[in-house]
Amino acid sequence: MINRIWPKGFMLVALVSSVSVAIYAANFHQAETLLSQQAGAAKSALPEKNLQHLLSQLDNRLKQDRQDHEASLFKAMLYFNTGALQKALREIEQLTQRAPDFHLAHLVKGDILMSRFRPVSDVGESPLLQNINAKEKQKLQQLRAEVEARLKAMVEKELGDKVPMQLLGLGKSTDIAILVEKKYNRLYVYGRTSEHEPPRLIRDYYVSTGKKRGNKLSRGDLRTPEGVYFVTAWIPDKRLPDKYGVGAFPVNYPNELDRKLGKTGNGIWLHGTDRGSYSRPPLDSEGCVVLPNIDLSGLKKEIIPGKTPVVITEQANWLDRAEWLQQRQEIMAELEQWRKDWESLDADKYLSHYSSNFWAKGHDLRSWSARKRFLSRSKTYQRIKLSDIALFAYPLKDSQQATVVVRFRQQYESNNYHGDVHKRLYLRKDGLRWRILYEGA
Amino acid sequence: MSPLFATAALDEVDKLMKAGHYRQALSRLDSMPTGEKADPHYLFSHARALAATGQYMQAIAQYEVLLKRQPNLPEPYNNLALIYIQQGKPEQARAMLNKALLTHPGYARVYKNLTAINTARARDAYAKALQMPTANQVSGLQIADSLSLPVSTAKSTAPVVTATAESHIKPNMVYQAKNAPADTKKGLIARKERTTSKADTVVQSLLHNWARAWSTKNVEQYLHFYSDDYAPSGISHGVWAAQRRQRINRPKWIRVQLRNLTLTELGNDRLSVRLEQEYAADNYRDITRKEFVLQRLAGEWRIIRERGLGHIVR
Repeated sequence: MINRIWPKGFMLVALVSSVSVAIYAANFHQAETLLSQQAGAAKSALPEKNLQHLLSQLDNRLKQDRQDHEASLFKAMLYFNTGALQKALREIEQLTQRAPDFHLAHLVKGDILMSRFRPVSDVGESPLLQNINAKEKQKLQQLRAEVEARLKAMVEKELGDKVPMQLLGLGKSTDIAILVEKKYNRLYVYGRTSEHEPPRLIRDYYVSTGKKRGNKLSRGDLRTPEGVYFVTAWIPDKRLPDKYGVGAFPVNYPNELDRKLGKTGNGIWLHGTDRGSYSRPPLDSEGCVVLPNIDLSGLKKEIIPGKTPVVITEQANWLDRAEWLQQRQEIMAELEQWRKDWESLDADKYLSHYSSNFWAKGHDLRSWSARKRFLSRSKTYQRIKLSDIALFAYPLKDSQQATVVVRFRQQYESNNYHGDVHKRLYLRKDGLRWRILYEGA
Repeated sequence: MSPLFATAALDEVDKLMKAGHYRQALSRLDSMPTGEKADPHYLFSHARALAATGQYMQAIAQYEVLLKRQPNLPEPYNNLALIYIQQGKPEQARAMLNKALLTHPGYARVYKNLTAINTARARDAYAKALQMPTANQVSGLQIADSLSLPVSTAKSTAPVVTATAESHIKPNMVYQAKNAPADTKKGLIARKERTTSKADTVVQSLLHNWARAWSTKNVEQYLHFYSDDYAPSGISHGVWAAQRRQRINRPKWIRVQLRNLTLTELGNDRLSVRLEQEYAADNYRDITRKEFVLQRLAGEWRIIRERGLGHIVR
């Protein structure tokens, strides 16, 4: 019987013990079955080892950043779940003092207090909240969605040594790259390591994304676009309405590929939160990626407009190190072959790297080929040097060809021309071969 | 003034306060002779009247004087909690109520007040969560208006245990200090007398109250005797509590009696108690030897270990 369980409260038990199980209170019945199965048995629903493991993870997060309010919230919930009510209360009280605008923390605090004399089967499921109005009901639903999204990311994302295929190389001039997984309402910040090694996860954050799920297609569809983008600017607080919080980093949606595909809309930004709240519900923006102010402020000094990549996915492709190295190698080899063939002055070889769907500013493959053939006739030699090479992969989806964006510095020298530019290529895998889909400076 | 006379005067004060005439009650109390002003009942009435007229600091001081003499009474703690609520100090209020529970776990009023305070705090937290207007008021608090101390013993300062708790303490308890030589029986008894008013009395009455909570199937009270993270044999506290709730509620009736309590100090605010437990219920009965280890946590004794040492066949 549910009301016999005390002070179970949030049913994290089921979810922690069999990490596959979904969420929280949705699993109340499952957890309860678990409890009744072991009445008399000397085995716990929440193995001490798991509990300690989770607690030490959370402690580490707090050691890294005292302002990691989510870690503190989870700590309180874990204590709550194992019946250590006083510890839970102490943790949540400290949290609500540090972050008085973290509405979710207040909700959990209410639940912990109520659990002393009645079981709490779901977040905010309290007799004190029986007669709330429609607006308050909506807010409650939003807070429930938020805790669910946050927990889902913690429980389902045990990354271990996995690295995202989306970040295959940051390039020397870029210290960090940002990856967003919409499914988990999560933003990951990766730092550059050595040139041929996967980047290192620095931190991850809860974010809010577009009100509607799915990939953005058109203006006003309230979706967050998926693709490889770059931060283009910083707009400070004072030039923005309140709802953007401490400021905004616009990204280059629609990018070259989006425009080719006819996608419309603009104004996709990474921005902060209205100052009345610490965070926003998971699906709440018109397409932007929204961070708590405190997190955006922390990131601000790391983000360089014009440089910092922002790869947005529904779900990233997670690889182990060997797979990552192989992917990177494949694309680096193609790039090197293109460079060599270009240098060789053999126009046929050079042009074989381009896709039949190729386009560039003012060109399709035909006009591009004609121009390149014409130019190559005047050359006696060409030397091309590529440096600061960065590789970012589009998320792999069924029935879609793999696409990567390559960014690099190109120093060109020939008998009659010198150039030093930053270039962006879109490569697409066509059967077994990578071909250039777009080239731009 | 004879005790009888004092009692009559205090009855009068009581009536005045019931009618809401606190100022009159105060002056009646003031007019009592100095000799009567050390009486616990006087102190209690005086503190109540002071609190009712908003003189919180003086009221707190009076309750503290009373508690120094009678540390095991729940009512002053209960009423102190109400003052702290008035002053907007819910944390201190809760601490007071917890102390009241330790002196007297069966005190229903304290549970009601704890519930009222926690409910108010929860309501406040929910209001902040959902951006609702806050009332910020604790409703349903109950003041204690009389002491659970017989009037006849009111002047005596010797017995420290509450009447109810004392009635459970059997005379055959032996205090055994860990480092005392076992053969100097005299020394043990002397030691016992010296420390009766301290930890061992508290712990003994606490265990009897534990047995009573179990006997009356009051699970909330029963669980309160254990530390918050009490978790025997590898199961979590939550699972254990759920199991206990289930098992205590199963029989139609339960009677638990404790005998032959032997206390041993373990140091670091820990005590071990060995005893015989007679358990009887509609469907089962046995007598077992048990050992408890109690620890003082934030001023409160809690059970941190409980184990059976085997059945006693009679």
